[in-house]
Amino acid sequence: MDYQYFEEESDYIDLDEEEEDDDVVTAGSLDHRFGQPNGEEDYYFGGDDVEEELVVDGHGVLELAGRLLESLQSCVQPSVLQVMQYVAPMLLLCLLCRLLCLLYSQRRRLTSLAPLHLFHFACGLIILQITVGYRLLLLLLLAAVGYLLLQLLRLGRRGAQVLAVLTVGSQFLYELLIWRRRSDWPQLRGIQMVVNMKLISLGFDLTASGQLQARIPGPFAYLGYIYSPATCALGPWVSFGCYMDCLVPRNSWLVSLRRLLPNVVICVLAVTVSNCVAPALSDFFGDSSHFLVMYWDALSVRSSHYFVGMMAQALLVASDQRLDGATKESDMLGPLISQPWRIEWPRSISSLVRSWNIPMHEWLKRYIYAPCKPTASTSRGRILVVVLSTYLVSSLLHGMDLRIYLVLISLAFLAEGESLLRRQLASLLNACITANLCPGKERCRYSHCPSKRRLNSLSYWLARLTNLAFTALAIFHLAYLGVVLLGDDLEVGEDGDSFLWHWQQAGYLSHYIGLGTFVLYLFIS
Amino acid sequence: MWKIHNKLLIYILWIMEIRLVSSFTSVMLCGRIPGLTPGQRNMCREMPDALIALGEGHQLGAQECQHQFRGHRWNCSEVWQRNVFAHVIPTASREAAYTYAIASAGAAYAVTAACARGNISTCGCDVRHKATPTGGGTPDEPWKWGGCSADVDFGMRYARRFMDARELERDSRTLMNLHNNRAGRTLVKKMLRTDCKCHGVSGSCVMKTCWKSLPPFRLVGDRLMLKYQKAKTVQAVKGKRGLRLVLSRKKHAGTARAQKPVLDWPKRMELIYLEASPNYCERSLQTGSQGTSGRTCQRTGHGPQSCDLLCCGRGHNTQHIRRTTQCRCQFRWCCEVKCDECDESYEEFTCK
Repeated sequence: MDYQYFEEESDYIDLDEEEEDDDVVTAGSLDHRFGQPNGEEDYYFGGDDVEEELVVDGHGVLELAGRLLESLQSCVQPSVLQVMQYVAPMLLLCLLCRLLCLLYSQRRRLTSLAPLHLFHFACGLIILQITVGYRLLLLLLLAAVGYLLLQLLRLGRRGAQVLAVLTVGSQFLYELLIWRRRSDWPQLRGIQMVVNMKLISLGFDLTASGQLQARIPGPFAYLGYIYSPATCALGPWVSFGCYMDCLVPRNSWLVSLRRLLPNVVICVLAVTVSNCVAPALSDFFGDSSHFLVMYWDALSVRSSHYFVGMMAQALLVASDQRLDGATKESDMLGPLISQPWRIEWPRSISSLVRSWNIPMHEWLKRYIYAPCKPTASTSRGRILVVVLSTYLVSSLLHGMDLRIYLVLISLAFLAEGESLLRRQLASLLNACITANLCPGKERCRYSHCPSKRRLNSLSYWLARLTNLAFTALAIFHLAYLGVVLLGDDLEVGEDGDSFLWHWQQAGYLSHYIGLGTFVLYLFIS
Repeated sequence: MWKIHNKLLIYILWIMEIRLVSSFTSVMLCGRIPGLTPGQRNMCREMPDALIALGEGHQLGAQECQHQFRGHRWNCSEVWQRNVFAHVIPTASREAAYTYAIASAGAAYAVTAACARGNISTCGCDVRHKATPTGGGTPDEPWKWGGCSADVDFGMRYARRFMDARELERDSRTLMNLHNNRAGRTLVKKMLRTDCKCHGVSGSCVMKTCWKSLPPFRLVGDRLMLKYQKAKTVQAVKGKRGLRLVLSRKKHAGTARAQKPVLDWPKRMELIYLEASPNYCERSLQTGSQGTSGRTCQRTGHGPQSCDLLCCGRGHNTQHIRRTTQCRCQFRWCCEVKCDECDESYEEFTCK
């Protein structure tokens, strides 16, 4: 026997239908009465509803823990599955590109490098097609513009500088041109940033001696370099020379597979922390401590960065692509893009800045900091200006994102102030409390070094405690600056001051600490 | 006797594993659970493992209703205990509107959560969020979705079929119940949260991961409580295709001209009721009122739980209670626990 209930359309009123009957027959024959609520009911329900909820603490904590586990459970599985759907095609295409290059290099005697570039370009195109879809056409258009800009290198060193200015400026131009569809830009911004860094580095490398000392790469080499599968989607920057050196893979497959596994595992852990664990802990401590909310939200930003870095490391390992400055290669993980252990427990702000993105740090040091730094009798003010210029260029590379500018310029002031203060304190107290790590026992030029003194010495523990205090301060700065980067940058236009809310809640404490650091440094010296 | 029978059935229902329920429930238990209509029994035989989720949803609604109406004259008792899967309120009142909405919301909530946990075999991941092999897609949907999101549409459909199957008549009360059922389960769907996270170079958005999650059911109850306080009075009028409910209008006695009445429909998310609520002071079987005699009230305080309001002016009894409890227990080696005895006394107020 089928149950009977009203059909879909008769359940609710159709708004389009107009009642034509003038005589509205009130259904008097119905068995239900209707009327107005009586006065007593109004007084009863309109009364004061403020009630004190006697929440038992144990029950509250258990409920919160249950809610935490439930939110984790509904978040971890979709996140890991979606991330695997991104990671697996990228890894397979990198391995395919490596296999094709290996077969080609073994088969013939390298009469031409063009097929190798084509393999890189084709696999990179497929990766970008999978990742960004139809926006790939926009990326190819920007690559063509970049190749035209590359012809400026015929002018020599000045052409390279003009190329750099035009490349960074065109980043802003792209954002303004597609402002109508600016929801597309956050997906392309990271990819185009790496392309711009490659263009600028190529320009400066080819004109290192002042003139164009080598031929401009052909279209195939250019496209293979720009859209190499290991670096096209998630970075990092590699120089053209490093790319050419690694066209033919050299490491054995066993080494690469052994390095792939820890990278993928850390990828999954990092995305779990970024998507699920850190926001859940931020909600958990939402009412107790504002610093803990800032810390967990900033940890969500940092673990997202670790996830991208580890994934890019996995792509580098799969492609057997090495990074510039080969001293920072780990035997377990391969080429290192970031060092999370030095970021989560930093010795100083400058050390964590160097560990954040090692290839980008290499790029900034090689093309911005080193040319601007004079060799003879460098003054303090000049170094400060050069450091600020380096941070400013790093901000400009990120395009039109005000939060990046605020965070990076603040980071520049905090890092430089801390470095100056610690160097001055180290000279005064003759102890190893500088921002950089002191060398070993023999080479340490201070008398109070942890490596020189024994464990029972007082100066050993004083130096350790001072460094520990600076580490705690750096952790606070990390939470303070990182929390601003949480959330979409498109929200800046809608709520003008929303991303500064955390800084206002903290009373701009990090900025005042940075100012106090400079004042203390000027007072001491 | 009747309650013992119900508890035995509930106990049997909860203690069985899914396999036993799948084979045994469809033959025996679906026919024995009281309160089910024939249509609901057919749905129980079709999908017996969803019945456990509906039982959980039933309890969710019952506990939430009793929590929200604690301290009120009508405290949502006796309504849920009469039958296992039924809730009957004779009066088409505002409280009935809340009861039907919270029951429907609980059913939709529990079935959706059971789908996400994988406890119901015929519903899986939300297929609309499956990732396609090619990442191109249409420009309208730029982000690739994957993984298991809460399949809320299955919960909505199943809860609607099950809860609406109770309405066998075609009168105004049925229309009211169907409307409030829909308001309750649609609220659960509206309160679903979609969280997304961007990952990319330097904070860009090369990759995006999204997931959906159910809010705590307490939030659903709180939201429905706001709608309960703003519930609308409706009346039944005869239309072209049968009865329909329109908002009741206040009559202006001073208006001499009899203008053409303009009919207003209740909004989809509003709770509606047909009759004014009784005062719930006296016990009455016709109105489903239990009365407030014997209820615990607060002498000092304001609000619906105060003795003046809760006892309807009949006064209250004061009972001095003195009891002895064990406190400051200590473990002594070896091996006994010794406690002190503490006396405490307090006053308890109950309505006359």
